[in-house]
Amino acid sequence: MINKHKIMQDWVSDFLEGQYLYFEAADAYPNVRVLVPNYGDYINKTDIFGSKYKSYSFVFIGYERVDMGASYSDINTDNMQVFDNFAEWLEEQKEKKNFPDFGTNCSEYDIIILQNMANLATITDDNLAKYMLGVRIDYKED
Amino acid sequence: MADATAFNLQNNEKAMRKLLVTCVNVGDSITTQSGTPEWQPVGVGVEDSAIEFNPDTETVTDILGITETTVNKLETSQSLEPMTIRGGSKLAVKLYNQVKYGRLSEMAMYEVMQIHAYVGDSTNGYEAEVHKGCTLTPQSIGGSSYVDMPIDISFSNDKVHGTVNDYKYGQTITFTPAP
Repeated sequence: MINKHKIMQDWVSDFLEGQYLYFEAADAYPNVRVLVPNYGDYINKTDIFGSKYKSYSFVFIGYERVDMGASYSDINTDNMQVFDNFAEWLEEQKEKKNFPDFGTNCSEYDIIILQNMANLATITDDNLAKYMLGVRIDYKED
Repeated sequence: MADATAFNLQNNEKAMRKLLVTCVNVGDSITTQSGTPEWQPVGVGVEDSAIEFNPDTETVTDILGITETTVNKLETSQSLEPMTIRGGSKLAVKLYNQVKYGRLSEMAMYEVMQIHAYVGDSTNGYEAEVHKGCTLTPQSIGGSSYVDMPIDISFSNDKVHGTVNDYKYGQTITFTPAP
């Protein structure tokens, strides 16, 4: 059976260009990136031929140190730009039809970015911020 | 063609919706001696669609108080929505051209097949009926993310009964008229 989680991890890793992408969980340090799936293989609908229209949604998480106002650095804007770049990379993959390959029985892929920009989920006492961006991959499975 | 005597289902097993398939002939007519019909199943991406019989009935209560209902005719039809335009769909291309050039009469010349795959088997074939001279009516074109062209099918009831070798989407379906 195809491991869709591994396929997703490898596919998103292309964006990171060599940097390791953790799956599900990782210790929080600056520059750590994690893919956390929400619903793998969730069936949205079934058509009258029995084909399933599914979604794989995940959250792309990144940890970065933030500037709490101690300086006039560009750290915070640079952090957010990382996630804007990821959203742009996703749009590019959609345009190029470079989708994760879930097997020969899957087709009609689509990439939906669930947020217009990443949200800042938490900031720890040591100024470590957790950014999150939700994404959904739609596909048809025969 | 003989009456069906049973469904190919276990006792109390419910027939899956995918066992009822509607196909449109986008190849040569089944009435021609040469050529090959090409059956395109319709309904990809359609979640719910029924073949409506639309019976025309007449009810009379006589002077004894007995009510009698007569079925005059069945005006069978089916609506399919969203019918998103997809590459490779010969039917969508035909309908597109017919709308584009207003060839309305051609819309009433379709051969449409109902496959009842819960009757029969892969060895002897699944029961099917081809309606000649059916009307396919595109209802609109457009949508939000994709271009949809929902259609209505009006079945003619001018039927040829027979069997098919397969009913699954993606397979080559061949209709054989009953002797």
